[in-house]
Amino acid sequence: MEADTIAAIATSAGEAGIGIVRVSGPASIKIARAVFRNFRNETVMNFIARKMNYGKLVDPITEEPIDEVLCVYMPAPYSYTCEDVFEFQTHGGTAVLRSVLGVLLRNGSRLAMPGEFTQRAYLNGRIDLSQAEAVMDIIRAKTESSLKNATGLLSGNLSIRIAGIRKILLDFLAHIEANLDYPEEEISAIDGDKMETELLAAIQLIDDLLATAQKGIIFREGLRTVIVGRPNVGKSSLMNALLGENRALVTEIPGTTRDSIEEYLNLRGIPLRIVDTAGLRESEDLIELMGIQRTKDFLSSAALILFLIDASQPPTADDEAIFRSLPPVPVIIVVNKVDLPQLTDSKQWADRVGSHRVVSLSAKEGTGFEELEQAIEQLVFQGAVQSNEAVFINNSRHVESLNRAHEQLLSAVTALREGLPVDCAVVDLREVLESLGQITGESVSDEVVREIFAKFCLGK
Amino acid sequence: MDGAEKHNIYDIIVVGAGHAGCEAALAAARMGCTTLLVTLNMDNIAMMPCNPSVGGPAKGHLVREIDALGGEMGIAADRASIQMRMLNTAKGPAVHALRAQADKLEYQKVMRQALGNEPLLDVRQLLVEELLLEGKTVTGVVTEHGEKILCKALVLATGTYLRGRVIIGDTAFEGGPNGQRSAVKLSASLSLAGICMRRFKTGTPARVDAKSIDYSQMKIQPGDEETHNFSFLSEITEREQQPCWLTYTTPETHHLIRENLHRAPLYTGQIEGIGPRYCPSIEVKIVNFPDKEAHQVFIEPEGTSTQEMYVQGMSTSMPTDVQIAMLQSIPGLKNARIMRYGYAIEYDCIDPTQLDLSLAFKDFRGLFAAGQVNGSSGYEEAAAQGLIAGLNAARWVKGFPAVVVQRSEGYIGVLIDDLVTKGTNEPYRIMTSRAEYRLLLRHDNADLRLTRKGFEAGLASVERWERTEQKIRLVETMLEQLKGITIGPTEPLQKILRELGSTEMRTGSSAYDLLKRPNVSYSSIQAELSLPQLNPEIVFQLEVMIKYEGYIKKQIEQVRRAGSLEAKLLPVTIDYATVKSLSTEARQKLSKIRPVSIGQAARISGVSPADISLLLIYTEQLRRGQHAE
Repeated sequence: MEADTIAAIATSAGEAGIGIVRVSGPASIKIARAVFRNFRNETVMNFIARKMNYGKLVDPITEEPIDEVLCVYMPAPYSYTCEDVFEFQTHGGTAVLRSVLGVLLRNGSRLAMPGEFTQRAYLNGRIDLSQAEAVMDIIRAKTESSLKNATGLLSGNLSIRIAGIRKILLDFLAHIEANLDYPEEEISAIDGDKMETELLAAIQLIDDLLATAQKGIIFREGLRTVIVGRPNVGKSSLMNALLGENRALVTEIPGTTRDSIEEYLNLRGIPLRIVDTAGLRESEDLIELMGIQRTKDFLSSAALILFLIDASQPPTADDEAIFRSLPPVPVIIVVNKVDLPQLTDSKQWADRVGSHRVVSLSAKEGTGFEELEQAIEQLVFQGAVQSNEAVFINNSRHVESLNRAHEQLLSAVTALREGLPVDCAVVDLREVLESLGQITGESVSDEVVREIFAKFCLGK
Repeated sequence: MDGAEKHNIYDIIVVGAGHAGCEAALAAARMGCTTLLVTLNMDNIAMMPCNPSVGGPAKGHLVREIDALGGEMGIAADRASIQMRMLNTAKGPAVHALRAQADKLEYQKVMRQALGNEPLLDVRQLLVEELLLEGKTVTGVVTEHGEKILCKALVLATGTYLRGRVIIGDTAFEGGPNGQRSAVKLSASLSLAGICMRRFKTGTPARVDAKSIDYSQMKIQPGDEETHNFSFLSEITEREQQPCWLTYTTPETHHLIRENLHRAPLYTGQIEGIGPRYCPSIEVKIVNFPDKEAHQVFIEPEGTSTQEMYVQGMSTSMPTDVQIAMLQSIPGLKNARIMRYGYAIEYDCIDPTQLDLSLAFKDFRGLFAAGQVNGSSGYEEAAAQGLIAGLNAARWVKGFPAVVVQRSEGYIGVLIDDLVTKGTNEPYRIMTSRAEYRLLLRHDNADLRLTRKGFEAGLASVERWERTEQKIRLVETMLEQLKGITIGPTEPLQKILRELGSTEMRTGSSAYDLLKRPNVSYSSIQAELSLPQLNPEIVFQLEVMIKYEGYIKKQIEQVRRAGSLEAKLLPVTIDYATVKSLSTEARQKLSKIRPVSIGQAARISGVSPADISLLLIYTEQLRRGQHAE
């Protein structure tokens, strides 16, 4: 029995110029013949691969046209799912898309489960696990950098890195194994020191990848940013100014309810998930406010804090108290209202806050934002230049596998140092290969598979 | 039933009396089955047609496992040995490997005696030409004389004899190894029955006259001073040993071979069979590794009653004039005289993926196969399969479930699982690198791993099991005791540690923890701590278990993890055509190999992780479906 045929609306809901409905599976060509009529109102028996066909989508029972469409046929295996795929470009709008989908479902397809197109692409060998996961990320990407990272992962950047590390280990294993299986063949024994050096180098490569994880997760989840400061320093103005300029393209993360005081914005490609504590309980006593659980929760989960002070007033005890209660995460001191006569010098703050950056701006006038954006950008990239090959690990499963590989490599190095025989190190090295293979899906473990499919079902 | 017919009915017939056939017949007879072992030539039972040695890395492990299960090869090798060496001793304990140089004639003699000692076993010189079947059930064989012999189960152990064809230079003739007959008609009968056949090739070097060798040009390779034995039952403590000799090919040798490649059957198209990558002929080595300036050549005695010396590393099917010229270009062989020429041999074998893990044909009832006919190479690989096929044929006759050695239990498990699950495109050789749980599958603990299994299956003797049980108890008791002995940092002990190059103790510790230190051996602290005198085998066992405890635990954990896939059984009746989205290749391979578990399915080449994901989903759905009902 072949796979069945699935259909779904492929574009996101909402008003738009066009929308796409996709059908994948062995019956898709039969379905297309049934529902599509060309501009001469004829049934098309032979669709040319990957060529746009202009015509009408009709309900075959009544021959009643649903919409004017463009349709394209992507025959197996040269399609996203490696199956026969049809895509219908219709006019945008929920009603039209639903009618089109309805006709397709009534004519031999069933509604795709969440993530099912990607699941099929994986199962049909079109993409590996890390790529499949990247697809889910692309769908959910919040900014272009997120998208770039996800597309990088999809094109296999991560797999290439992993393959590089695996190669080092495989070369070693091959040499060791040959030495063990052919004791008399004069194969040079493994040089322990050299092996240690190279294993340490492999650990470094893994650590490099792990070091990107934080950024990767920023791209995926957004950088959790909290604006704090005493009343009337201009927190809401800052928030509005930031949002006004950089209103996020995607404003919702699946699975989360949008909080009225939490906003998403795209700052130079970095997705910020920004919380304005002003929205909390502005009228309350500030010190008390700092003590209430909700604020604490926001602050403790923050990856970046924008601490706002008023340049037009001298520093107060409240400013001090707030500053002292901030958790140990990067803080940018934002000296606001520089358009007014200044009673606080930003330099004073700079001297007192140590390594934290201090920027001056006027939220009202909209000046000085360049400096703030730069400061945020620098914090995220730490001066590192972003290239197209850059990979940011953005998946906790990958982080876990890399951490395991790191431990296992370390164990191999320790074994060598302690003078244990090389085949003990081999046990570790084989485990490293297993751990790395779980990222790309080269090693199978039912736990991984279970986890992945649980994830596919969460996505779109 | 008249006398003649009675004479011609057995529980089990084993076709072929090489290393697979002998073990199969012995196992079957020892399991209480009336057994007939047929051979082309009574004088060539258990013949070693190639190298005069048994064991080595992984192969030695197999011999120990055969012995632990109640087989004969270890005992025979011990008795026929004229040299023993423990290889890889500088490497970890898992790869220590025993290898014996055997007196070939003696080996045959010992094995023939063992066959003769089995009351239920008959041995006859016959050429089997046809398989008798009733539908898909084996009922017997027909010999070249037209004689019908009936059986309930049959083990094919035909080695390299099926349509054997020997090739030396431009001469080629039908025959088996060492001038034997080949079995021409049986192949056709197997094909006719629907068995998928293929053609492999192997080869052997020339044998030279010991009197014509100048050993002063070579490096002596003596045996170990310490006496070793393969068998857990052998009690040989002294053995007269013969040395081997090491020499090298020269640029002249390589030149000669290159100049004559146009006459090499391997390159002229004379030979069509697929040869072993792991045991290449010298002409293949020269072609494939053009940069290597010299290849090792070991000169090994074939026995004490012959002058023949085996020239290891020089396997060839070159014309005879090239054979002599290339040998004479090697230091020490300048005046060498060839007693037997090297040759290549092509033979029919089966595609082993037609077998299940018990070595029975999946599509037949009562039909088993073992050894080179399954596409393996090597005496040890053959014997290991023989034992399992004979054992399972007997269990089948008795109506008992098959006995399977898991990959985590022995190299035998690795060997058989590789053959029947992955199949092979060349003669298959066992290697330590094929075993994923190598640290558990050691030479030293084969009995601890397998003797219980052999005993419970009805093959290993009571004596064997009692010995193993005793060993298990002693090891367990000693491990506990060593943990219980606490010692303070006394000066005499510190002195011992200093002398061993180990760091001094700072606080007290147990004897167990002290033995964890790489430099500290049982014997080095035995006197000081008044530890009991134990036999070396037990001491080795204790040291390995203590020193590598961490890694042994890791491997046990790996086995456990992999076990979750092995435990996910695939129903035999599964119709892969109904599993959604499987790749075409996976569908075909799975339908053909019919893996018993997801774990086995994952080892099939061409079955991708994505296919395995699908099978996991499929079995999960099956499971849920069953629960729903």
